[in-house]
Amino acid sequence: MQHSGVNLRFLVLLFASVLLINVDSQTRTLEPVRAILGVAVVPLQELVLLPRRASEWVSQRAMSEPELLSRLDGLVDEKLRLSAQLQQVESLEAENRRLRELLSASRRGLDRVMLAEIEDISFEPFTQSVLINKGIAHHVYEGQPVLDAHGVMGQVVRTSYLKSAVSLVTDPGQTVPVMVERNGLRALTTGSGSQDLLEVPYLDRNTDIRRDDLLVTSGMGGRFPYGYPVARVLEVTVDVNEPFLNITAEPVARLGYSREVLLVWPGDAPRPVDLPAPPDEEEGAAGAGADGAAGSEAGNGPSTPTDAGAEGADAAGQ
Amino acid sequence: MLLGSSTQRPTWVIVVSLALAGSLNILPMGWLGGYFQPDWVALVLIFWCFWEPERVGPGVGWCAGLLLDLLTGGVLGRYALGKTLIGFFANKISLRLRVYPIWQQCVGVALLVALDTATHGLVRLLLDEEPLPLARWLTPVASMLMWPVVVVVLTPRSRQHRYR
Repeated sequence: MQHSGVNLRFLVLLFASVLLINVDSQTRTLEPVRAILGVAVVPLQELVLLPRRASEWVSQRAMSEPELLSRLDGLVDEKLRLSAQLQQVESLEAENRRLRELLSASRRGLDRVMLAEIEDISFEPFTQSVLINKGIAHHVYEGQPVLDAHGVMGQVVRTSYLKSAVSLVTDPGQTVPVMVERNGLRALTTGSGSQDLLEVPYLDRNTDIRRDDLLVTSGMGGRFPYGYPVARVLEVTVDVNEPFLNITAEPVARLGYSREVLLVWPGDAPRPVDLPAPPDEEEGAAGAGADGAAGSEAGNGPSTPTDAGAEGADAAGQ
Repeated sequence: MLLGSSTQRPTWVIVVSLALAGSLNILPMGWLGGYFQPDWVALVLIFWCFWEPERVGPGVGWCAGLLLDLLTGGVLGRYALGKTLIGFFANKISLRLRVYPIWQQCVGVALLVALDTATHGLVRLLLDEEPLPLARWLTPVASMLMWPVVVVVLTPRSRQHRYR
């Protein structure tokens, strides 16, 4: 009797697991559950990070004075160089804005960024995703682009309150709309599953794309903001039996090495929701947090115009 | 009963050991080029399923799996499914297995973990994800090798004479 009870419970649990997988992979209903339960496991994740933190602390303390000074020199040099470049960018930005106003094109704001750190956690061995130490509490939303200092790394696929999972551009499920910087040709990159290779599918045999072409985000699809480098073309081969070119590219972001990554809030207008408060402004962060979370849930912006249209039609009918 | 149920282990020991095993699972060790990745949660779960079958089974397995799902930020239920299976079958064979010599237990453990790995691969296939990397099939082997360690650590001192 007790035996059949155990069997029944086993079947119920199996069913529950399959249901969970199905619901969680297709919908976002379980998002709040994950957000709350995810906090409960943070201590265990921190425990894992402890050895690395300790060794970093020790190595920082153990750095000698000349070493520190030379590093500081390097940083000061770089800062000078970057601020010189920034001046130019600012004037270009102003000029761009004026030109866009002349053309009465929609204004394109600057993208906002926040620094995050990749957690040294091996969860799925040999997969193309990582965990970062920012979550809903920091206004991270699903589908948010993630960059490193060199280029696009990937996008946020799942968020909990304090952590998020990022799927890298090399994941076979990831597709990034790009264009060739040289001539504006639009294309897509998809992951190959190996860490340093991307594929560029569906380009005709007579397309103008060559080795060493830089692929930058095209902004199509509205997920990745325009103009960030993604990959450099490695090889273009023609197979006479196939209608499309065989193109491989190498991600520009240093996927295996970067630990600091940048979360981006695109400044473009086409976003389904209000922009969350800039992450570096602390005032009103609590209220904005709820907004950001709700905003990432919604994602039904495009339905508004059709609703308005339907209402208009109704009014006209009456 | 031969062993185990004469002195019940406190519940907190079971909970804490499973939680620590969860941390060990996500600890990047990079032994042997990252190929040596024993599934510590599965090992600890199997241990308790063998020696506390009245208390630990598919239910605890499901919870441990869910914990792992949360720790890794993956799709909920993925690990829970495999660990439920482990809990169930480990319970089924617990009476026989715990009187076997330890090397025979190792074989049983490897089979249980392999079942988990196979489930995982199947789920990934069904979710249209990248297929399971072949290196993941080293996990049952690595787990098997670590089984004696888990047994020695989790068996109370008073009963350890059996393994000397």
